[in-house]
Amino acid sequence: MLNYAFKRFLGAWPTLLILIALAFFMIRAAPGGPFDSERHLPPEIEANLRAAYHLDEPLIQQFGRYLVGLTQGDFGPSFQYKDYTVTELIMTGFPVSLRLGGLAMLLAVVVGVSAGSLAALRQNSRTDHAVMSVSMTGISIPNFVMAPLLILLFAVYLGWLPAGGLGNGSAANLVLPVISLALPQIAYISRLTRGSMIEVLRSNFIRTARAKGLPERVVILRHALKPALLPVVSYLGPATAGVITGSVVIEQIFGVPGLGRYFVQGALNRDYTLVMGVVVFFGVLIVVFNLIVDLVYALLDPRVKY
Amino acid sequence: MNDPLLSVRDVSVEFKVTTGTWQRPKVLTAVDQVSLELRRGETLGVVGESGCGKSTLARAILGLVPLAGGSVWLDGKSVADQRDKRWWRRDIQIIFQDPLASLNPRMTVGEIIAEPLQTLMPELSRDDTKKRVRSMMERAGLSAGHVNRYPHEFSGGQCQRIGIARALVSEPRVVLCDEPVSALDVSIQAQIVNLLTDLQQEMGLALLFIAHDLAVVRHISRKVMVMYLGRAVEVADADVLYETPTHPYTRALLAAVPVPVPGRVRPETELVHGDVPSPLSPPSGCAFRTRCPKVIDRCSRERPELRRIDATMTACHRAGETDA
Repeated sequence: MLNYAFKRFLGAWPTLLILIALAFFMIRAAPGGPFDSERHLPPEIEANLRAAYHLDEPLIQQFGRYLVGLTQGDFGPSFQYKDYTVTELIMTGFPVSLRLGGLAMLLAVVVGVSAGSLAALRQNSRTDHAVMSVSMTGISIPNFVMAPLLILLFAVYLGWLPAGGLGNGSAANLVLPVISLALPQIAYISRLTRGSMIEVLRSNFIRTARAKGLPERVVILRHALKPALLPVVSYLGPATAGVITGSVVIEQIFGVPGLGRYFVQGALNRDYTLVMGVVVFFGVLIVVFNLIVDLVYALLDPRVKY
Repeated sequence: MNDPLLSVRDVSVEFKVTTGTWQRPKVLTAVDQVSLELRRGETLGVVGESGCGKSTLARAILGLVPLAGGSVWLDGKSVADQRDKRWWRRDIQIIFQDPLASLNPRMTVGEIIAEPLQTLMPELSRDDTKKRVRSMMERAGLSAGHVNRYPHEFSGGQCQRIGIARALVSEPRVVLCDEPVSALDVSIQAQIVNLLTDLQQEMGLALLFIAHDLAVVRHISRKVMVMYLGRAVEVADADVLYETPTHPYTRALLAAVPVPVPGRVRPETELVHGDVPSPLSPPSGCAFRTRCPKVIDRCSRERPELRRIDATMTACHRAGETDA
């Protein structure tokens, strides 16, 4: 197991290198540059700026410089947020996104797995149809529609919750953004759980468990749940990485200073180092979560040996 | 001793089959008023082609599928009367057809075999449970040292031994064997059949042995029941049934057994043609009349009941006729 984890750790480096190279050259291939703005800079000043940030060097040399910086944990300075390094920006945005996203995923797993299992146990009943219609709706309604609707209902009409901002970080401020983030995940996870649970419940070893005289509760929890969760687990890896790094839409709507908006603003401003920093950070998370998924597989199924 | 241990009276099982979104679900009668009796130490064989309701009958007896009619009695007690079904599971167990798929791949063999004891006999201590599991494994021909292995590490025959150990560990009195050997090699089949008969003698088990292999059934059973389209068409002692079959379907089944002598061919006369009718709309009267070589008008009007002809119980209007 440890051996396997180490091998996967080694294998992640080439993946990340390719990711970094692609992102590096693609963002530079986009027209425009970090110092283009409405106000035209005198050519000497722009040349000085470019020299200060090493943008006058050949591309390959810049790439080498960036990689050397990365090995020292240095993502470079931001081109737009003067006086801030990219590391500082990520470290201010990520904890916020992590808190929102983590809570949202936790909620999504608990609600999604329960609702999906319930629907599977009562297949083709009204409960099943109700759960599946709600989840289909959840998948179909985009979050930029759902979030304002939630604000309208709970903040404007009912006045129960604040409409936006983090305030002093109280729980009430988190409720709406967390729910908006979780809803599509709940919908997706419940569908996945239902499908695989139905399949597992039809399998022969579940019939054996029933023949043993086990109470239905034990049949479900001890025999059916683990295999039914396998597809959910493989979905959760990349999904969690995506959700905890922040959603631009949700962060904009609720005015939350998370990581997502840095990514989009960085891309729009051609803030090369910021975009790169967020891409690398996201890439590392994806690789780590996929590794976790593979290790969890081994816990759920003894036939998986590494 | 002569009172039946298990008696099944007029048991029917129905499934609702949805044929289309807007159509009403149709009713499929998988088992149609089947009765049987089983005494201590006795073996009853059940044969019939696939889809005739053999497995469904076993599951209905065990309570894995709900009964649409009839009743199941053990030792004079009806299953339907008791709330707590655990005594039922303790006394009646089942061995399934697909040995590997019937075992939870995420549990060790020890856990699989111990689980019935934990639910059915919670009074046993951990040590006693362990001891029983180990001794049951050895009686089933497994090495007790393999308790911590997983099912996929065993061969098909060994998996079936695990299934047998699991079924017998709670010391049931009746064991339903649902095609326990049809997924195995012929040489392994013999081992498993012998293991079953040995354990039967040791523990005084009553076996219901379901199979489509006529030779295996004859070898192990004292009595044999032939099923067709959910109905029992003939019941007799094994030798009587195999030597002097009275129902045309039984004859057809026996005639279809390949002759193990090269060059010798059975006469074609007894073989039937065509397919089994859909159980969703079974023929009126006798279910076999659409394929029967001896069909008469009466067969489509009147459903033949099981009746005694010499040493046999048979459900055929024409059985017992002198020219038969």
